[in-house]
Amino acid sequence: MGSKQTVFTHEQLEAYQDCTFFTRKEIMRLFHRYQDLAPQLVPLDYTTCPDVKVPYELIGSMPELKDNPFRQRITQVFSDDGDGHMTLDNFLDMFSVMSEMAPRDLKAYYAFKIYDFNNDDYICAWDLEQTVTKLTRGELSAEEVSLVCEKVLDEADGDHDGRLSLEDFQNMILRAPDFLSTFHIRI
Amino acid sequence: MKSSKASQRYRGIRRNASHCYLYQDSLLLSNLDDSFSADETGDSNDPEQIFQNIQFQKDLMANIRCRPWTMGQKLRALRRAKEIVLKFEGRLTRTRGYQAAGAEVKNTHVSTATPSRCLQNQEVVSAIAPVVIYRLQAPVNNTAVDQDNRLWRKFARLACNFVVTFIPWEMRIKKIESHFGSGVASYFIFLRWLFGINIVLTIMTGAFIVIPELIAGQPFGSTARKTIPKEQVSSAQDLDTIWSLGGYLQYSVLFYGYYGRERKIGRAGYRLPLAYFLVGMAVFAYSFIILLKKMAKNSRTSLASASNENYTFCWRVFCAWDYLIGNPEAAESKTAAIVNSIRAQDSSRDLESYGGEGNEEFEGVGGVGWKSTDASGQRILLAVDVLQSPGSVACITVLAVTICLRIIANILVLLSLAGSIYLIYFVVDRSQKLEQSNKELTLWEKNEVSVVVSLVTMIAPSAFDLIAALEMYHPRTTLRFQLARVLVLYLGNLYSLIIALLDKVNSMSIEEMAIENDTSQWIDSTTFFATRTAPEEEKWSTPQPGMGLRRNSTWAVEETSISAYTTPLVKANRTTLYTQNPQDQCWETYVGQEMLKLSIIDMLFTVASILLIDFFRGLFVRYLSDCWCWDLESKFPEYGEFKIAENVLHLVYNQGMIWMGAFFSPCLPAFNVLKLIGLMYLRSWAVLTCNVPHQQVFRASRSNNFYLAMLLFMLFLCMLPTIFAIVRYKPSLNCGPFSGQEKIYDIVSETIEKDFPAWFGSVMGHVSSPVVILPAPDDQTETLSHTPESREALCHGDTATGAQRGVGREQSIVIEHAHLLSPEHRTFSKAQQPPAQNADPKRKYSTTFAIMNVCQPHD
Repeated sequence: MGSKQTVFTHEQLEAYQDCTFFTRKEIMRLFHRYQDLAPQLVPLDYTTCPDVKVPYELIGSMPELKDNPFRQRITQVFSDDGDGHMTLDNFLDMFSVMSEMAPRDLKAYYAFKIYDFNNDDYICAWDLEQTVTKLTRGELSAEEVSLVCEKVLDEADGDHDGRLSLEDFQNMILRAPDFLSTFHIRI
Repeated sequence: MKSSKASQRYRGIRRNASHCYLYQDSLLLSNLDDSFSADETGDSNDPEQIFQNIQFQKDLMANIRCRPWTMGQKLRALRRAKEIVLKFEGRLTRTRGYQAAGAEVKNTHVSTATPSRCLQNQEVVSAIAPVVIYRLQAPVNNTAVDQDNRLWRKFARLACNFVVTFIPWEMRIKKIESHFGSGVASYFIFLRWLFGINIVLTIMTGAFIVIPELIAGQPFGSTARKTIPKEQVSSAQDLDTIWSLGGYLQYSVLFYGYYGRERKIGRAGYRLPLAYFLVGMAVFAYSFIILLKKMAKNSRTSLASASNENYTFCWRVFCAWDYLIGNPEAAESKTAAIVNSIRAQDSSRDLESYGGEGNEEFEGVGGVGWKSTDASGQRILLAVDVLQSPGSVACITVLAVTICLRIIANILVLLSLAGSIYLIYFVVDRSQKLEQSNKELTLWEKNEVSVVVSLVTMIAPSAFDLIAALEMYHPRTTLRFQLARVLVLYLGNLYSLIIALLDKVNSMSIEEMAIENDTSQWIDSTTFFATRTAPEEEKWSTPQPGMGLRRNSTWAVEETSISAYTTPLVKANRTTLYTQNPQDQCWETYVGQEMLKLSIIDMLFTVASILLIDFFRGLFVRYLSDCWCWDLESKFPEYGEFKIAENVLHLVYNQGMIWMGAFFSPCLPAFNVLKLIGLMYLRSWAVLTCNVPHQQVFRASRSNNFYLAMLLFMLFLCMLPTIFAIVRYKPSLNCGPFSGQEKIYDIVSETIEKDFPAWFGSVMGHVSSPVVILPAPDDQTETLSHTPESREALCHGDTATGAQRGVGREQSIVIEHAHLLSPEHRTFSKAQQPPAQNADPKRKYSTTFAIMNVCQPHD
């Protein structure tokens, strides 16, 4: 108990619990995970809100992320400057969204951002290509990839502008039977 | 007053909703700060606005975690919201603050008025003031409620923080998830959930039956029914007696027969028989409720599924990756599977042989959106691929061969099903004959029933697997068939076992009748003992309904008669019939023993199969592959794969066994808790050490209801025999809490007659008349389908998934139960349906999304 109190103030913990889907214990666990990534960088006292960022290389090497083809995108989406370097707040945010408790629409919103590689608020053909290539580790030929992209746009593009808007994406993803259970990282 | 308050609140909510829409827009631009307009942050003085603002900020605070903002924004917004609420609530709460607020409002009204109308304004203010104050009352009341709410929320959070620490095996499951993806983990989550249910069942039976009996019931050895008969004492501690649950175990709280029949026990007068009956029913009721609740909740989370919308490629791309995977091997096989699935989809699209359905997402438990696929069409396609000969003659030959093979396979399956059922029936029959032959039984003979049942349940699925290879179906279809067959097998096993057992019970009760006659004749003929042993004998063999009362008075006499006449009695027993001992005639104990034995042996076989099929095979493959003539790892034995569907079915079967036996052996749930703990550890260890990730994509299945639907089905079918036994059979005369009654359920009417005031009895008499009973199930279904969960599930009507199926099934169950076909029922269930089908899905979804963002629960 005592050690917990020194990392965060009581108010901080309450605020974090309000802002994430975690319990106090999980927040502490996440903090320790975060701290373990860069023990010399991250202080053990967060009561003064130090401005610390853990570089992407370390975040991406977490066992939860290291085999994920989209790890770079995930960290970029959740980091402040889009460079993948994360503060503790970003870190908590990320795992909160990926937690089991997060609602479907929140997950869908962030999934859209993750698959939107060029951050233009639309998933265009290029984004799709990136997604497919990462997903299959480049094992599909270029024609196959473009065919798949074409089909995807065919299926989900409601307004036929050649790219998926957030609304198109939500329409599609909210109906996927296993989106909730797969878009989930347990910590 | 009320209406005005309501309308005010309504307006507030409306406004909040519109604010939230604003937020929805603003969050997309991720420009939070602009959306705080002046009147939200600031010092608006209109009390209604203040109130709305507070409400809005509170909503924001409650749901801030669901906003897609960065943590910094969230924290800032939270802090601001808290400040605003504090500030304004301070103004509005408490009498002082509220007066101050009223005064302030007055002042502002005055000051806004033009000086020229000052005189009139005096009146205006006096007219306005009560209105204002009255308006303020709503917030005041509300803030009090809100404080309660806040306290409550704080408490809930504390409780939640506390409870989370007790969720077992979190890390273990996580590890499995990262190795095998969400599919395999869903088995373990299901196992954990079952474990929870069994703990509750254990607490129920333990607290209300077992512990009272232990504390207040007559101690072991005090009465004939709680004493091991003399001729068995010598062997009561033998290992094989214990093993077959005889001896001391038979005469213990483990089984029905041990429980006393006194209507009240202990000083407090605990009504054990009544409790026994009610808990027995409560076990089923609780299981039903918890299952349906879970199903409703699940279907709420899995909004989508069965839509006809064709998003195959999108899902294949955007939902393909299982974010839980955290192991390079698993990641690799997942990638390979995704590539396969995309390719297969491509080619199948190109050939247009079958559209829409995936090639690889065949995991049985996933199957919400299964359509019947054109199997023979696939078959031809595959045959063409295999033979590389597009000629139509070859095609037809191949087709003919496959059809023949399939017919053969189905015949084989049917034969093995029939064989297994016959085998079980035969074994039970044989055990009965062996027991009647009255000779010393060997260990095998005592256990053969449960061993055979376990063997069948273990071997037959593998046999089906082999047979399925003959059929050459598409893997998805194969799995479906396999599941259906295994389910039928398990059900057939349990049912043939229970039917055979009940058959035996039948013959037992006939025997009992015979003994009864026998004994009375014997008592008549032997005049020497007649005077003294008559009460004793009577108690043992021919108790009458009023016996319970009489017994207490004759207790002392009986005690002495036992001590004085034990020897002659035992002798007498021997001379009459071997089966005279009180519990030998106890069919309830016998059924309980068989179920517990089955459960134990099933456990042993599970352990053995895990060791043999997974562990030793793994060892063999791992260490002998270097010096073997073919590649063990990739060809024949390989490493085992974790068969989710079959393992889940096994869990369902196991739980069914517990439900079936729980009434006759109150400790069965407790045993099952231990069994599940053991299984959890053993399985997770075996999975991590010996199994390899699946070659195919397994669709995650936590969020859908297939497992639960099977479990519900099992529960219903396992409840039937118990109910049947309760309704149909006369409880044993010499043992158990219901001995001497005509039917087990008579305990309820007896209690109503004797322990409730007379008026209650007459009321019950009216209430239980058909006029009232018949419509009752209707209400029941209505309540069931109107629990918050189900209602919410029903709200998301277009999904038309499990909850409705679950609720629908419950309805059908109730219908079956009550044997009634009231027209109301139909209209009711129909009334539930329409929202499910109409409503334009697309529009609904976009609005659903917006609404979900906007209206999170308001309190």
